[in-house]
Amino acid sequence: MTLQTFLFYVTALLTGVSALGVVVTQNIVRAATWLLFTLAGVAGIFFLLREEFVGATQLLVYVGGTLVLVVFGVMLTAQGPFINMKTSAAEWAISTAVGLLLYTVLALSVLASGPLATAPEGTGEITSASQLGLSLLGVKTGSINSYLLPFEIVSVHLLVVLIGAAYLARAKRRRGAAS
Amino acid sequence: MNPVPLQHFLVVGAILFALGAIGFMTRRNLIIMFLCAEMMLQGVALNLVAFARYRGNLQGQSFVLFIITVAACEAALALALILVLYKRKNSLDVSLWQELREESEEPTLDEEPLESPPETSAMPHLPPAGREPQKKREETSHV
Repeated sequence: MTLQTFLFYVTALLTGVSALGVVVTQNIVRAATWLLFTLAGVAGIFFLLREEFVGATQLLVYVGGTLVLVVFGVMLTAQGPFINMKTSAAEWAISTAVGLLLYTVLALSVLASGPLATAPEGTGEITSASQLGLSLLGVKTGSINSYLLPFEIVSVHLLVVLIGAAYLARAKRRRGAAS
Repeated sequence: MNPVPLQHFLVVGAILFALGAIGFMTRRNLIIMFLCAEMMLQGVALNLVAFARYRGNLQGQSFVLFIITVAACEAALALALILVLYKRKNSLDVSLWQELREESEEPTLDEEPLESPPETSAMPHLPPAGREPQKKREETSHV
């Protein structure tokens, strides 16, 4: 067992255990912390796959941005009286059965597919961050498509959504409070 | 080439997706449902990156970058909406929001509604310090 294989299984175990923690914990803050470990574990798997750019983006955007946003949301909504939103055992049983069935179908179909694992020879090294950036900027090199239009659409989408979110979450002045 | 076979990455992605689905179906807290949806997105992203690495092309990575961007948008919008909903009803329970359904739909009956929150003020009542209590007539003649 090489070091890379060992690291993969350790990271996968960490990711799975913390994902289980997100689902079963009763505290919102703890769920957010478990999700932090899940996201970091997925970023680690990206690094092990030698997709450094995607892993770094994952760490920056998810762990640095989205999770901080979640923690702010938790803090802004956790001031009320504490209610334990427990789920009944029957609901747990039904949804666990459905989820395990889904997982069994997925895992069996993945493991039954033999020839997927063989990569085409000589093409394993063509991806790099500079090629990704060139394709996002619309430069076509060889067989790589240009992703200029989706890139522009998604950037305008991000701008519109952030303006909308800031408008939604602003502090409203109560009507009649000024009088 | 990577010594770990592709199927193991796909199995990890399936674990994340299935756990996210279980959490999304089971929990009734809005924020935790949102976190579970994020976890399902992570499982899909892991699948895409693993396929892109093993096929040696760029499409999976670009897809994952777009997924991450759209997920950031979703997080911003979802948390703003959760804040607005929380300000209205002071609770994060999903089953309180039945009036968001279509007009022709019947309301879903919540078989086990949460007990209403206890009416306790969050802060203890503290008297202002340094004030003399009002004296009653009887108290003045103890000595």
